[in-house]
Amino acid sequence: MERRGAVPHAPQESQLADSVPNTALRAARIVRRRRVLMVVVRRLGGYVLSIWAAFTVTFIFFHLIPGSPIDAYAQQMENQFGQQVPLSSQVIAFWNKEFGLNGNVFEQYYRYLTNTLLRGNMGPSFIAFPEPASELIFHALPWTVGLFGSAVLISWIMGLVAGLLLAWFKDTVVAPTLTTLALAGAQIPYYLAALGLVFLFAFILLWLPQQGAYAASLTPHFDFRFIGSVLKHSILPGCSLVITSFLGWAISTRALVVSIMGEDFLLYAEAKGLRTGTILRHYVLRNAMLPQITGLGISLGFAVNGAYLVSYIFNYPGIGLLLVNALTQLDYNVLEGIVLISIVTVLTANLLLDLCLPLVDPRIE
Amino acid sequence: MRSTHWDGRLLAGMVITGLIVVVAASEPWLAPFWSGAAGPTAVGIFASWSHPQWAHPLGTNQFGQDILALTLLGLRNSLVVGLQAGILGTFIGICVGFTSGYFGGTVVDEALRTVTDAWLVIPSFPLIAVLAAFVRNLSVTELAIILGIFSWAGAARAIRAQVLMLRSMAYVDMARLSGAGHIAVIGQELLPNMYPYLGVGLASSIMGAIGSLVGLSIIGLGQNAFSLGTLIQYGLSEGVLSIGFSQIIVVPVLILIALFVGLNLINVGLDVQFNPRLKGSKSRG
Amino acid sequence: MSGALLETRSLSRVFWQRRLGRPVQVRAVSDVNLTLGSSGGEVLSVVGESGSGKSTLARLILGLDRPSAGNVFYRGEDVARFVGAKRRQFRREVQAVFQDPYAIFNPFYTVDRVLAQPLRRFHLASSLHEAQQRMEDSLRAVDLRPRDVLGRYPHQLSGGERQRVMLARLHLLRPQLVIADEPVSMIDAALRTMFLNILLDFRDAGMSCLFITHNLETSYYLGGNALVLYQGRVVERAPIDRILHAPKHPYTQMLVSSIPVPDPKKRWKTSLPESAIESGETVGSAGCPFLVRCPYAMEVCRRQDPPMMSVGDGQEAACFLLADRGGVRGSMAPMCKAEESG
Ligand SMILES: Nc1ncnc2c1ncn2[C@@H]1O[C@H](COP(=O)(O)OP(=O)(O)O)[C@@H](O)[C@H]1O
Ligand SMILES: [Mg+2]
Repeated sequence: MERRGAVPHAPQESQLADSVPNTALRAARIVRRRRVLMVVVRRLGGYVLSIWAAFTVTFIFFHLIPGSPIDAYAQQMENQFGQQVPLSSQVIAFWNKEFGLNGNVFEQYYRYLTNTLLRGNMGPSFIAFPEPASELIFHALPWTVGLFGSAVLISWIMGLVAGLLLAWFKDTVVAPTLTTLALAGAQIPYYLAALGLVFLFAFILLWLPQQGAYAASLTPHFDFRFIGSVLKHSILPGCSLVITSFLGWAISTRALVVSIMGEDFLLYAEAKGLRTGTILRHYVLRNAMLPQITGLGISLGFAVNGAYLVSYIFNYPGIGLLLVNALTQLDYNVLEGIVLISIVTVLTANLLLDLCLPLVDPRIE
Repeated sequence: MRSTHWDGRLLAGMVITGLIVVVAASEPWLAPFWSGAAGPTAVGIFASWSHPQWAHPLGTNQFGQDILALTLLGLRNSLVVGLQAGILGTFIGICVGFTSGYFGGTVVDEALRTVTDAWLVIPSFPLIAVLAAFVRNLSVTELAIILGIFSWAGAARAIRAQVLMLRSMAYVDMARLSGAGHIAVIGQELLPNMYPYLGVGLASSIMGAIGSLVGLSIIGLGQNAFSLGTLIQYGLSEGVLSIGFSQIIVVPVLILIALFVGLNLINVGLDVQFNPRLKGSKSRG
Repeated sequence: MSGALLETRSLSRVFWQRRLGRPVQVRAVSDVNLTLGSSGGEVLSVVGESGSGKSTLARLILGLDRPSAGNVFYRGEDVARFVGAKRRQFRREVQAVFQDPYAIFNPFYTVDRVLAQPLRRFHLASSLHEAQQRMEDSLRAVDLRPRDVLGRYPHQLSGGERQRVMLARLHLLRPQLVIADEPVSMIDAALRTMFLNILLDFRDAGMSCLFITHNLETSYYLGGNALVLYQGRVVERAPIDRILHAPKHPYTQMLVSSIPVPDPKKRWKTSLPESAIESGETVGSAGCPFLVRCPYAMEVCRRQDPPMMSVGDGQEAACFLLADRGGVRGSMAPMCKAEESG
């Protein structure tokens, strides 16, 4: 059978070779930039959509539960006067208006969305009427975020180091035992750790304060005594978080590092005669960091709603204590606000992760 | 696949959890030893605030109730509610996870996965607490149902991943060629290979439910279920630590820690023992 | 075409895969037409390298996967429309042997299940005793001792034994058509011949076979017609001896030339000379799919996808090299009709 050679066209291409790359590169860059923009827009769209969905579900939830702020008010009156007080229609209308319960459901929903989403206004609080619920929440938020945010960070770093050590010494006798212990303890709720610490330190060892965020005799001032008091008061609640979550980080880091150490390129690095420290730092840690950074982001998102009970047990003026107080007084708007702020932080942390990870991870475009 | 070697962690977890369960289950026979025939909750039978002694190994409280008997009762209730909620949560998780995984990649899967992911983001504790606070006189069963409804998402996600993996196995194709329908494939081919994972799902659902239940009790909600958290709450409000009755808090806390350790060891052990990768390499030899 | 046992018309299956985080389309099976006549005992081989879409084609024909476009007809009826009794009959009459003799067994059950389950579901035995009897007969028919197999778990059998259990399953069910997806690629050479011989016995007993392989020799051993698949497309079809001795498509030539020859002086050829197209050059979707690997690529190959062109003797290939010989016929007429192979 007769066979034909290829049509000679290669030379023409090589003549063009000098001028092509520049324009091609520029075109490629523009295309990539446009694609990045598309991704960002899509992520932002998804974020807005999930926020809307979460707010809607929360609205439905709070409308479906029995009881209303009016009932709660009547209850409060009853407690105050020791008998049932019939509420006049003016009073009912007043409270209905205050709590945005006038009009039909769609009007209420519209008002709710515009108030909460656009103005960050969750209506008046009940505990401290007429102070807005958002005010109470934003007073509590810094304490929670400061304490638990730093606790998450500290436990993350400790876990990373511990996991690395456990993996590095995995062939010794001690490390597997410690790993098993860590595995066993990783799921213990924070509040059990908190109760254990209260018992140990505040009553047996009597070292550390176990109530409040700073000594009662002090007023918030930016001076050393006040900061010292804040730090001292944060040790026990912070530790109760760090103890158990650090175990979780240690386990996941260990698993990651063990699987990385089994890979070929490490053998190659060792064969090249690199020192242990160099291998650890440049190969193992770098590869183990990425999933752990993702995990850290997710945990930070949960910092607001991870440990309500710890805050309550230590009487720490964070979101948890506010939640318990609002619960006992059936404070609708504050409760709704706490739920909303928790959802918003989780979703926002996820969004930031999605947008920032590509900067760190070379594998994602 | 039926390896006779048992993972040590699985064994340890089963022993710890088993012991706790046995003690809790025998509460109706054990408690009367210390509380008398009137039951653990009867008030004023014994002297108030008596320190530990032979007749009352953990002493009595303000109302003259035997603390040991109360602890046993709280343990039993915590476990019962946890088990009910855990079973409900696992059941929902199985239904959602299986459907989602079996129809993986379709609109059904997409929808169920969105709901699952959303459920995982929702701050469940405040919502449960709000429900418990607003619905007065929540019965124990209602409480269990609420806790179950809030604890299925993790199980669903794990089961979906597993089903997705199993679904692509050639033996599923083989079963379909043998005339099996969707139900038969799910029930006879996929489910039996999922048992260990269902165990994992159940244990984590139970842990979640008990964690929330005790948490609720600690802040004084869900009073109809007298749990270990109720004792802790009582202890905290009476300041028992400073008057030398710390056992009211410490004993429940220790029991709970042991329970969480036991359940988590079971989880880890099941995963190791039935890990498909390890299993495959062992049995092919 | 109403006389055909199996026919596919423009069968296509597109998968969405994620590459570097972005969804891309993979045409696993693209516009495949094939026919297997209804006279019984016919073999049609499908040859292609790994990733060419062979398994996807098998799953589409078996109704385990839905085509993105096109249809599969069994005895003139669309497989996708089968429900109820029709579907059951199709399941009973069309069976499969798969590549991996381990994965087809559910580790939770004993191996009996692959034999007992169809007996039960298709109501093929009137009593438990009869079922047991038939299972043992079938195992003996493939040289297995029933007591070595029944009641055992899959991991207790060797790969060859497991694959022979699948043959026993064919003996038991006596399907009209079997789709064999690389059945011998994971068992060793001695068993391979035995397996193929048993398959030939079944063929002589009237069972038709779609035999999928990446190995031209095994399909030569079975005889009949063959079609060559490249990136989901049929690039050549002919009786298997024509494929081996007078391949027309450059890809088929490459496959044939890479068959190891038992001659110590001759080096095994692994590939044809360098492609005329510079590697890395992207090719538009319009051109021939083989363009980048083809040593004879022409200008027309970039612009146009070559249609099937007949070269006579029941052979046709999709290559412009044949254009001036037979002329562009663009015929899609299946070449593997019953009358030709009879
Ligand atoms: N379920 C699936 N999802 C996505 N892509 C698939 C799937 N099955 C097969 N493919 C793709 O289709 C192509 C053909 O695969 P396959 O039919 O298994 O080829 P072969 O059996 O010839 O090796 C491959 O590129 C493969 O990646
Ligand atoms: Mg294949």
